[in-house]
Amino acid sequence: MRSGEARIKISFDTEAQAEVVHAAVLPEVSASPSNRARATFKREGSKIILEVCARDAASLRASLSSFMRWLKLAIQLTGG
Amino acid sequence: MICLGIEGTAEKLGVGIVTSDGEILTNLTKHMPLKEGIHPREAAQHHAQNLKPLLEKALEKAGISLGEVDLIAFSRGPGLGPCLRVVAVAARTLALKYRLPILGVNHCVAHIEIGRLTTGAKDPLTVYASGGNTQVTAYVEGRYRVFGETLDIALGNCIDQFARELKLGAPGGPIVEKLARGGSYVELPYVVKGMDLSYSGLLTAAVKKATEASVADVCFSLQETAFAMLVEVAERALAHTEKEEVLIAGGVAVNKRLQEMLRTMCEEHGATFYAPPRDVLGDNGAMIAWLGLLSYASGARQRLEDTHVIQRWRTDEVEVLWR
Amino acid sequence: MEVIAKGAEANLYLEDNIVIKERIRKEYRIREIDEALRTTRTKREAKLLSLARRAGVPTPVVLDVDNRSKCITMSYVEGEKVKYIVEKLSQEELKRLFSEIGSLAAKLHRANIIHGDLTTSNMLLSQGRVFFIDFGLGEVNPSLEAKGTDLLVFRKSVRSTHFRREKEILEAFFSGYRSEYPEGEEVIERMKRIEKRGRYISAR
Repeated sequence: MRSGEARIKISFDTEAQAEVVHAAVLPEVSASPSNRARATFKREGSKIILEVCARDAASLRASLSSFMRWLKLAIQLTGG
Repeated sequence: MICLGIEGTAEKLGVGIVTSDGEILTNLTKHMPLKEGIHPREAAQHHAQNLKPLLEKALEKAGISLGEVDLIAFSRGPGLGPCLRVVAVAARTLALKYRLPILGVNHCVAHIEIGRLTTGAKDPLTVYASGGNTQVTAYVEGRYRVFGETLDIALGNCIDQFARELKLGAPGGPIVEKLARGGSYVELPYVVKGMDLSYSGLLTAAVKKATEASVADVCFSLQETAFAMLVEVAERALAHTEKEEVLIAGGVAVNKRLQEMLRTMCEEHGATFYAPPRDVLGDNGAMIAWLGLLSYASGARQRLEDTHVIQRWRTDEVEVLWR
Repeated sequence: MEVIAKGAEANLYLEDNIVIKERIRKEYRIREIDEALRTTRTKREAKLLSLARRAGVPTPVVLDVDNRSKCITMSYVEGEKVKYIVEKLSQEELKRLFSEIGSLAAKLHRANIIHGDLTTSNMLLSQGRVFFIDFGLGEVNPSLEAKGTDLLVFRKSVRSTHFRREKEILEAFFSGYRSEYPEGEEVIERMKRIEKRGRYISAR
């Protein structure tokens, strides 16, 4: 089994939108620490940076797909 | 005050808008198409994809904009983790964007409170039966105490799984209810332990029985047995708590036979039976909004960073501050 | 005959220090289920009341069983339900009482008797002795699973009914249970496992 790492950067039009999306998703990061995948999730100005380190490819995919689901939803609800 | 409530603990996604006077402005529900059992991640994906359109439709139906909403409430648990988390993210996003207070509330308590609101029941024993929960509760000193509950699978789950095993279709409840008409009794195990129930043995036995008896007979007997168990537990809890009202809640409670049995039991004990309208029996957003309003008015507040979901959240862990 | 109690499933009549417990027909369930339940429970209760007494647990003496009318005739135990006295007891008294109840539950389990509905409504305190009643949901079953479930039913009923004194009661109960039953620890462990399998327990 190979471990996996991913780094995703999302740029927003406004810092305000980045702030809302980041704050809405952040509690999910702290709420469920997992030993299969570790994530850091931070905001730098109008950018959100997500880094996931996982024990194997399956865990990496599962973790990323959760984040993508949340981020996409939060982006939709903040207006596109 | 106007509260927007989002429900999404299992396969249903709901958005409801309720005023602090208890007027339900809108209450929309979107069911996930169910072929197999509920797959938590697929359900979460369903909720994520349908949240925005459902929200927009709800606002349009209520004739208000998000700017007119005063409070966001969401189902914080108990439920399936991935589903709860999608709903929580949505609620937080809306609360942040529109600078609104946010409250995560208990799904089971919400069922009880929307039942009280819509039926006028004051202090009922609540019989709550759905795909994920089966419990008999009553208010005693600041909490909804659990007097009886399933020790394994929920009643709705038992019936759904049975229907799936026999390839009768989904959701199993209404199909089994229909097939049960005209069936006659074949013996199945009846398991009540104290005021608690066990449905997993009944499920296994019913599936097995279907290889030798007709589908109608097994459906009939499954319903009669499973419901009699629940009604008996409710009856004993009623005697034990000395309450004078019985309220039903949950998706399984739409079943006419179950309602009839509970009504008969109530008559035997001189208790009043209350059945809420169908659209608030199953999981729905209005119940979440209403509990949000009750909680908020009694002083409950949550910081955004403390709104993580609680997958296993017992009904009797919630402090009932509004009664 | 005087009706002394109308329970959820039975009426109790008293005459000349004799109690008749009649399991009544329930209109809400179909005849077949109703008949089978009332017959089995009447039979079981009569049998288990006697077995329990032989195992050293005070119970009313069974005088007659009528399977047709679903009636058990038994001796009258004058006393108060433990449910109603819990609130009145001092810490010491409560501890003594529930340690006794725990050891009686252990005596049942040692004899492979499952009560089926261990709650303080089904225990009477009569002249300093605790009597166990209402064995209708019981069975003879040597398995850890059955004994663990029996304890879980008790623990949950204490949680919903005696929430103010839950901790004291359970501590005394389990200490009494352990001291009377060498394998008691195993049963307690099983009870915890069964509870974890349930769906509503928070991950505390």
